[in-house]
Amino acid sequence: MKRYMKKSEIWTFGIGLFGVSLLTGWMPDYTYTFFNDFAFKGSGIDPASITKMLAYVFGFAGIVGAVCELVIGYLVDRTRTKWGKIRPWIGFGVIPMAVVAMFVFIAPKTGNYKLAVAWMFIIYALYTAAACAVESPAGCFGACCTPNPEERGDAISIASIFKAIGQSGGMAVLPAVGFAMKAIMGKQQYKTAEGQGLDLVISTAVCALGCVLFTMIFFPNNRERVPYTEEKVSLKESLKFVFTNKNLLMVSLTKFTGFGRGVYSTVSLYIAVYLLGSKDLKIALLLPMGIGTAVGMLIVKKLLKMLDTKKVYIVCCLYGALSLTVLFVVSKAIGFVPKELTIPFLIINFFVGLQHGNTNLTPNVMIADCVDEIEWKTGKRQEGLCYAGFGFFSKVAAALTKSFGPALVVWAGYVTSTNANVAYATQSQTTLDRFLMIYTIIPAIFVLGQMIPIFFYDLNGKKRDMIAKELQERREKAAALKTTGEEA
Amino acid sequence: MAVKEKKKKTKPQAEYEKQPESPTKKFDVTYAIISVIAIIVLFSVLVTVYYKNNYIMFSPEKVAEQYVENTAENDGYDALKYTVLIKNTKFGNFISENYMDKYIDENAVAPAMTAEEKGDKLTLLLDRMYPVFTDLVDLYGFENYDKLFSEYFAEYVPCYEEIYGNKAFTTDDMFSAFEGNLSTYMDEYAYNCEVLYGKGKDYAEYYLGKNKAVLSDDDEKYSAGYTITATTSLVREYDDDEVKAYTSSLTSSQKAAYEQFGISENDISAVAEVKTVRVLSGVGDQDAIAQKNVEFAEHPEMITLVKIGHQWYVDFTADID
Repeated sequence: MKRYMKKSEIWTFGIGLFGVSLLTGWMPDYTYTFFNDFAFKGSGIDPASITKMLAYVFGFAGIVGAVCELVIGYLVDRTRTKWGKIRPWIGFGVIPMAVVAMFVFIAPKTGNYKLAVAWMFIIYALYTAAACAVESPAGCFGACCTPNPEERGDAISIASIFKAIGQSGGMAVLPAVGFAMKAIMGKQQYKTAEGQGLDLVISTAVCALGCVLFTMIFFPNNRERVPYTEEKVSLKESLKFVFTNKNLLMVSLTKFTGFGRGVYSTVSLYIAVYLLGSKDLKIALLLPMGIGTAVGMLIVKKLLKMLDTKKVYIVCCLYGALSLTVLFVVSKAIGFVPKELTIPFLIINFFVGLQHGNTNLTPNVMIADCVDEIEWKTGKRQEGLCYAGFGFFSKVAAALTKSFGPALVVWAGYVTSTNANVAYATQSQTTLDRFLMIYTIIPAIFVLGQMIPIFFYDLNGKKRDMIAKELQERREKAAALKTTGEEA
Repeated sequence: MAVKEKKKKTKPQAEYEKQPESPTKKFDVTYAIISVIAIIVLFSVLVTVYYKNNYIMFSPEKVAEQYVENTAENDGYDALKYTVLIKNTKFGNFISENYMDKYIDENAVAPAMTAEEKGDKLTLLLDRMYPVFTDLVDLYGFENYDKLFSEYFAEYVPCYEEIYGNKAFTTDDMFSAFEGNLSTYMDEYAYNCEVLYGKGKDYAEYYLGKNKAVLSDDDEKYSAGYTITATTSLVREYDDDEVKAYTSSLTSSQKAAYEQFGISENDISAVAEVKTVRVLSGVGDQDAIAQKNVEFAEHPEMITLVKIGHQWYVDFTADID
């Protein structure tokens, strides 16, 4: 099949996704700390009552996000412009998204508790909706950048790597901003500004500006090449196509059956404290895993050229479960002796991180193939809703993880410290063993769980290539008919 | 014998489908450039305005407010963070470099302890050092930080060695001890029922219980719910002649203090006087609280601040012995 994308387009697609995820990766955690610790500091509002409300603020925003995911997906599929159906959402939506993100960090000066709470609910829900209008279409752009499945796979692979890096980019922005502020203001003055959350305001401006800048590198250079279907589809029909397509449903279900994979993050601080000896080692835990994830995505990209998506997914899941089991066995064998356990733990953590490359990348390629399959079967192209459906399952899974993780900590029997001079109390051996299981064996079970729906996925290499070829023939025929009709 | 040449298998290059330029390219590029410039301008303005309105060191009233609120809560230590002392240095670095580093033994090794053992020893250390702390604060006050820090840490070292059996403390340990004693001191002398209306626990339980205020079981100081804040108003900002007169009238010990902080008289670009009045609020006898606020209003504090660069600092050098 012919290639359609210029080399620069593949890179600018990645740069665009990097930009979007730079802001969307920054916002949730730092919004929480800004609302909790800085927004109403010194206003007279009881900080404890603000903390209590935050769970509802973020819960409400989560519901708004899940609903917007489907609504935006439907609207994207109905969009018809000279820029395409996805590109205008990204290019024109990124400006309001960046501006609203900035206003999340500009709290009103008020001592009125009800006003403060109302503001938090409204501004963060508004940001979530605005982010959905950009992030969701950005995620499905890969499906329409080229009709060539192999070329599409390359583009999505590189873009996914950039996206994964962008999501952690904010963690680099904050210390960089701090470094610059210290150099300009002096260390103590920086501390005073930090105490008011002013470094967070500046860091948000940097991330939001970066988001706009990188998206604007993508916008003029990339184009959609898969023609959208002319006939508009009702919401009911769209949902039917998407939620009754077996292959798409299986890919989406992997999020559901694998929701417990993420529980390791709930205990990572305790792993750092009790197994490795210091909470400062939490970043050391995340770093090898992050590097492993980036390397894993490069490996998966290579694997996708040799094997079909189904085989790659299953092999990587088996590898993931195995690496987590090895980590468990080695940790038990060495015992909880920080001096002896730290180095082997961090090394194996890198190998555990490799499997995340699969879960970050392969489903995106599979969904793009499902979009082709739905068009082949129904004549309708539904990138927006296909990715939105997957996104919906992702958000449901994330909510399950957020409640499952803390429940597991309770199951482990964790005891908080009652001594004012002791941050983390000594834990029983059973609790430590269970923490280790929460970090290794329990995620391993869910990694195997996420593999199960893929056994029913049948969009393998030959079928995929046949669909792509037939779609191309249909498009060429339709284009030729259109030209003949116009000439007549 | 003919040598068979092995043909290298090369993957056939896919043909590139050349396409016409996008019809929206010109608009897209123009839009992208304008958007980036507009966002840079907008965010620069937003951040600058927000910073100017919120960063306290740009406002003499806000700096004075923080200073007085800290001293009112008996936290003269944190009040020092709003004074000229911190102009050229981080407060923590100033203390560690001048009063702690000389005691640190890099070669000392601490034996392993459980979390509970560490907690018990720290509690004992804080209990032993607390009377030292209170005596020094009573004698010197926080303004005479030099004597306060010097003598406190000189006592800390042998006390630590006696309890832990080694000298493997770090500057973090020394800060923790000082700040732990400070926290106890602030609690002990905070506004409570005894201080407010000279009545003890029985009165507090009767009155606060009657008003459905919550007292914890071990709230011996009955200070629940009381806070001290400060209201401030700018009295005047000196004109150029008055600034010159101010800087030339500095005593030799004030000049020496400025020099120690890396400041010369010429660095002072403005001087302001801010009137501050303490304000007590909380649960309990509202009449007693109101009476206390009347007393506070009758005795306002005048704080002098100097501007160095863009930031204001409390000038406390006159109080240093």
